[in-house]
Amino acid sequence: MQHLTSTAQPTDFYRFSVFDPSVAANQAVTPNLLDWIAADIKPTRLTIAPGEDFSEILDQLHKLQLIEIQFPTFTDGRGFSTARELRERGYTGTLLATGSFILDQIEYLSRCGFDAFEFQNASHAKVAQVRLAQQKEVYQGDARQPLPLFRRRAN
Amino acid sequence: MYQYDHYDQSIVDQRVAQFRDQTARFLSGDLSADEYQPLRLQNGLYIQRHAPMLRIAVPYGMISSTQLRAVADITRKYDRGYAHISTRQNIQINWPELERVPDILADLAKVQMHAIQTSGNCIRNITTDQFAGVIDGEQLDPRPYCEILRQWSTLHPEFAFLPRKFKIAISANATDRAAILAHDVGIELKLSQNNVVADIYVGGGLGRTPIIGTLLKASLPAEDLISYLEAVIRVYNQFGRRDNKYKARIKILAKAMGVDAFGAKVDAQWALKKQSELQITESELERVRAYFSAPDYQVFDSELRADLQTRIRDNRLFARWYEKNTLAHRQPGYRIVNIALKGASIAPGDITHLQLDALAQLADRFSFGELRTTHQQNIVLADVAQNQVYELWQALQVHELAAPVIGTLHDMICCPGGDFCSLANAKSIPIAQAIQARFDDLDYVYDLGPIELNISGCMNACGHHHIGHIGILGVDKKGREFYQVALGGRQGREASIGKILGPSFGAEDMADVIAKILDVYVSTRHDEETFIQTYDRIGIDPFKEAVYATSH
Repeated sequence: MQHLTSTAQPTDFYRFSVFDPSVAANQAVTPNLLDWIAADIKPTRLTIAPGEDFSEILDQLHKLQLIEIQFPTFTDGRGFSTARELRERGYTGTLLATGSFILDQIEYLSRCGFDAFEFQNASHAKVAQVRLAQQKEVYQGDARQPLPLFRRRAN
Repeated sequence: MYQYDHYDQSIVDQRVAQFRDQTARFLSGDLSADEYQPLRLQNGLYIQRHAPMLRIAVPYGMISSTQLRAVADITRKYDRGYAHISTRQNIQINWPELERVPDILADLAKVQMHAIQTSGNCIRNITTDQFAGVIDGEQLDPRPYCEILRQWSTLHPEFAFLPRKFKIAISANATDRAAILAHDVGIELKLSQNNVVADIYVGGGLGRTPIIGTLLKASLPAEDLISYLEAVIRVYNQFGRRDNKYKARIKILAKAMGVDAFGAKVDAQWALKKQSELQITESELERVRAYFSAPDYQVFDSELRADLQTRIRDNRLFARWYEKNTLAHRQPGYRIVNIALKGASIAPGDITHLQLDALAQLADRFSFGELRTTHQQNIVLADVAQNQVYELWQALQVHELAAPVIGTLHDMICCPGGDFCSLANAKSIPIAQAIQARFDDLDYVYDLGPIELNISGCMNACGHHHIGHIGILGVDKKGREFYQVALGGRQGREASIGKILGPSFGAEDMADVIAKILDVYVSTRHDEETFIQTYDRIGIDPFKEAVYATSH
């Protein structure tokens, strides 16, 4: 049986940070996908924006340490699928969510495989930490628990 | 029907707590209106024209008497004493206060109900045949699969922020009563050499761009349903348009890409998941199937009882109702009973708290404590012993629930329209009522035979006007309400979209327009020809001539 995701983690594994405009204005720390594809020497980090075709990195996932997935608006849910697909394809490095995602998405984001979150708001980062430490019952398998409930139910 | 265990109950209870917190944060200003919107929508809460509207999930239309009583209580405690059955088998209440919605959800959770994903850009309530498990012609009971997919789709982490809403319908019968070709994904379950397989249709839908679904995958092994649907919805989530909400449904993507190219992308995703823990296990199927096993039927011979035959012969009112509203049951000696929520004094699909209580009691007395809601906005008691049918009919009459109009012109599908809905361009309920009032002679209505008349107050098409034999669409012209009429639409296996008759009409003309259309049918039909058969034979022109010639 193949596990779709197998990055079961202790909750203290998650990394929380707060967006710092002075750093962002300086220069992008993480190259965007096109620059990364064009680069001769591949950096170990890259950024994927919604709608970008990331098929070219799929055979090089093992060389990457951090992939940043941007959420230009919180209602644009493409990043959830991108994250989950990267995990299903075996990516084990850090998956960082940045941009306009909201606190109320933190459980879904983590369940899709994100393990690092850059919040716009420091207090939200704190609450998120508390929330991810709580165990909740869910139907689907996810990044913490690959088995769906129907394979875990005690009969 | 399905019963929650402690896992299901925890999931629903957690959701109530989460929504209570979200609503409190919204009311205190910690959560902006923009942020709160998708969160409340995914809990069925709309902000409407007059008040919020809460849409309560009735998974694949199954509801117990206990649950129905709880809904009646909720309409008394938090609303105005009535509820509305939607075309996707859910129950809506129109006047709750936003502040009290978390309490309503907590009350619902006590009876294993919720409002999860009844709205918003996510996977919606999965619908099916209202006669599942009791009707002839069924290859298998689709409800265990509905429940397994309900659990899979509930609070799915990847698919809560899709480009647009996503509706799935499942049928397992040669006669499709679930409108699977008018859904984002339609699933037809079949038996193939004792294995359950699924034909998957994609990209059907009504709304602004009505499209009939196309076959995407034939004979998918049923144990792969979850992995395959995940692949379909992932492709949609990644590639569906997000720049224009009117072009954001999967039907637009499948058309733009072409179904073959779309299917190739799906297969590439599916390859990642096919052989994984997403495969539905035989033990899970067995566990869920056990909840849908046949109730404790009495053994009767299949002959129609003599006393029932006498009643039918002697009581014309009862005979009409028996013929129109009851159906053959798979179990000898039982009938399927339809309760039409299409009385003259109510909006189609509306039901009062007293009627809800009465139906709960009748379900306990006559139908094993279970009921079903239907896509035609009616209610079904699926397992009534023939020797109790007359008694049931008498009780239904007391509660004004015995309208003998199933399948007739009176059995209209109608959205709440401009009286309630803030999206609507025009009112729809007064049109339905005007047509019912105009055709109040039931003998004439019966003579017309089966006619599906569907009314939507705007092009979002909640009243499924595209697939009515006669479809009526409310439009707004410079602030006035007009109605466009289409003919020849139909649901089911031969689903097709109706053709527009011509320029639209004012509300006051609508009953006349329908009368003229029906006159053409009555005067040109051959023998036993139904309305839709006559339409297919003579085309739209004779109707056009009759309607427009005399109106000038």
